Amino acid sequence: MKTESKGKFFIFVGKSGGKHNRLSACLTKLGPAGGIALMVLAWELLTVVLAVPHYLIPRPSNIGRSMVDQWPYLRLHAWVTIMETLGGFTLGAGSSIVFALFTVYVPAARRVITPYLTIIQAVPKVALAPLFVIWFGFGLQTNIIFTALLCFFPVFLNLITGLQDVNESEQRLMESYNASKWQVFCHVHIYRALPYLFAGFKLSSVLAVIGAVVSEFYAGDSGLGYYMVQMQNQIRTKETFAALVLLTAIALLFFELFDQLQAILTPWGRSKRAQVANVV
Amino acid sequence: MGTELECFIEGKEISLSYRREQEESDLEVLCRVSFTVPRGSVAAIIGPSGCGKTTLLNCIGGLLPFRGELAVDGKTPDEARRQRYFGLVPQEPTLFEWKSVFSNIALPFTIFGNNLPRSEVEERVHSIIRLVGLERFERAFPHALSGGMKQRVSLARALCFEPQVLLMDEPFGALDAITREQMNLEVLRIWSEVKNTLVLVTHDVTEAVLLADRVFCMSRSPATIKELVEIEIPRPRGREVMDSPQLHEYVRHLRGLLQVC
Repeated sequence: MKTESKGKFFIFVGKSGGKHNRLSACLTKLGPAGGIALMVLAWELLTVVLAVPHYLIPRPSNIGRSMVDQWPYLRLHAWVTIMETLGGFTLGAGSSIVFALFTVYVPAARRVITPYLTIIQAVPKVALAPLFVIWFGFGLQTNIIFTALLCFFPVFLNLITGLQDVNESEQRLMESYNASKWQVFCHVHIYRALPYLFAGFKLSSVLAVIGAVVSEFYAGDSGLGYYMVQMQNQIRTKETFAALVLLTAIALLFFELFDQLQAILTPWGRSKRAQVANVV
Repeated sequence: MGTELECFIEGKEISLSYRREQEESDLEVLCRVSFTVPRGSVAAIIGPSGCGKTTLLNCIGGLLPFRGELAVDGKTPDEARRQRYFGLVPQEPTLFEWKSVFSNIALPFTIFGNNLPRSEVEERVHSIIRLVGLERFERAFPHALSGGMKQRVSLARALCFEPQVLLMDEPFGALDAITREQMNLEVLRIWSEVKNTLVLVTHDVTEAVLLADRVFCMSRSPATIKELVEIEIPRPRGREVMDSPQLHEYVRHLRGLLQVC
């Protein structure tokens, strides 16, 4: 009886899934690059066929051309944004690691720090950008500080979760060896926290680019965010798009960097890494 | 048991209760438990689940505070733990997934930081890996191993620094029946080579009879030792013992005791 019903179930799935299987096989063969190329082609055709005004949605080919034309400017602005992203990320993620270690391992510090952090965490941080201009003025320093603020919490929250992810059996085993707290930290806690830390890094890597751009909208005198506002004021849509494409590429690259770094530094848990990435 | 056997672990009237905060009362887990384990023998602790077998094992290992007297080789359990008397085989294999099989087994040496030269440590780890039959997986990470293999690594890790006492906490409880049988025979084989004192917590009566020299049968919580059964099946024991009428007689007797509990 059991096997019969199983068989029926299987056939049912097989029948209904036939078309999907062929489609998904097709898509798999194309790969992500092929999919994107297809989408860009459709975009190009649709803008031509539907005669969409170029100041609303420019054609991809025009965006590409303006990217080439504007490259000397774009390059300089991108450089500024990259510097801010890296600087802000390093400052934000770095300080959050210090804070997380204090919060987890120094009970007195935990009691002092936690309430403040909870409040700051609840503040919509993007809304602080105008204030930051008043406090820190225009330019690089403001953008870096703002980016750091955005990068702080994902790393902080993930890391304290990771450091507190304690397995009782492991703890007992280490105790039976009479291991010191420092040894338990070095052999257990660090490794347990690493996947969490990388989940935080990956979240922050994307947020860092957002932080840099938003800050440039307000406080920039250069950078891709500043450039986009300038172009927007002149309704030069394809240049704005060109900057957007570049920004996306920077964010992707940054994210991928940490993904690869994680694969190298945590070779033991590939399945776990995938799970964390999905959650992100 | 002859009188020439030196008593190695001796517990007198061990009691332990947990504080229950909500009800503002104490939950008594162990109630005046007394027992002795001779040096170089195997003792099994059986009893209904949740009766405090693991708690008793943790007391012996110096991992829990208790009332009463407990001596391991004339020392308190805590002193013995500090002097690395105990090789613990926990319920789950508890392998560190970021360390290779080799590093997991070598971990006690790393923690002890004793003056053993590196080559000596490697030699010992290699030989213990051969003993549990995992030569091909020395460099593998735990996630690549099956449940039985993980438990072998856990066993090897407890054996490698040659502790005076092996504490095994339902080590094969999570394994399927066939693998468990294999592991039991493996433990018999390994133990006949190392011959240290072994305390085994289990809920598998056959496993207890097969491995142990004496079986402590515990009652339901608060636990006391209901009865001590000496297993007089001659050693070396092997697969043939599993089918012997003698073993079945012991198993039936212990089952009866557990039902009374």
